[in-house]
Amino acid sequence: MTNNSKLQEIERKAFISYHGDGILDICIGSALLVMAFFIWLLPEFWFFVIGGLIGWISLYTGAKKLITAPRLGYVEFSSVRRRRIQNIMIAGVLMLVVFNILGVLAIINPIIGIFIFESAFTILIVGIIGAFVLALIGTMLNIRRFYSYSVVFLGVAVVTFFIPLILLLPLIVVSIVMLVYGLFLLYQFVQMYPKEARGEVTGA
Amino acid sequence: MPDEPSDGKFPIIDDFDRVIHEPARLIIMSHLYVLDRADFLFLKRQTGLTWGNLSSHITKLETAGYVEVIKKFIDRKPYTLIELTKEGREAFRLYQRQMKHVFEGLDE
Repeated sequence: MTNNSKLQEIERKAFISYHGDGILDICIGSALLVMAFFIWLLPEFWFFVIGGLIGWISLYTGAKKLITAPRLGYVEFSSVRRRRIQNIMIAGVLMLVVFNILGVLAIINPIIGIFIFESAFTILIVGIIGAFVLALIGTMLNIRRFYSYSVVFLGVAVVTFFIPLILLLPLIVVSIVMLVYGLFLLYQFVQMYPKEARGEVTGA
Repeated sequence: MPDEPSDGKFPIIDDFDRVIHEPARLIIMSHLYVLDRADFLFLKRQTGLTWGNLSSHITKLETAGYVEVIKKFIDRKPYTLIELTKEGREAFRLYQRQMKHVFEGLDE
């Protein structure tokens, strides 16, 4: 109990239980699913949709306040942990900016659009980038299930490369997996941690 | 807060901080050491203590000056947050060193 690795384990356990509600999975999964359908149905507007997905962050924080805090309690993690989350958010915003620029370029110049989005290797590049991002989230947040999502994404991308199906298949599959597993975790979380009476929550 | 034993000297029972040495308080202190602050409910969930136990141990730690209990409104909801004081952090570090000293070189 007294050595540093045990203390790190305590912090990790606290952090994992805080994210054991599946809300992060549901938010990312639903955001990706909406994005996939917009790219599919309204391809000319897809880069606007990515920008709009930043709104999912407020959905996430709202759900944490509404569901997690009354059941698991309120916690502020260490500055090291908070910096990690900030870095992920910065990386996410940068990626959105890059995708937006690519989207704008593809619309302005159809030749660039064909080069970026219709090359034979596009699906593999998308698969590697997507898998890397999901694995990065898993590493930075110490949430190991994101490694599984990463493997699913890359696996479906490779299958789609060899058996040409729709280009969006990896995105659709991983978002559905995240959404379903997130809902399962949320159900488990709500069962495990019933809402406490207000006086008890405040310790009054 | 007890003094740290000099190098090479095995700590005697009086060297140990009895406030921290109690298992329930040790687990509370360990959580508060790695987290910035938490409310009663979060500590209850993480430690597995009952409300009564948790409350009495927090009171003892507060009396010793190791934790601070802060009443705060977050998003218009009242929370009672607990955080380690500077003295509490130092006392925990000292306790950590003393225990390490006791068990150093022993096989598991």
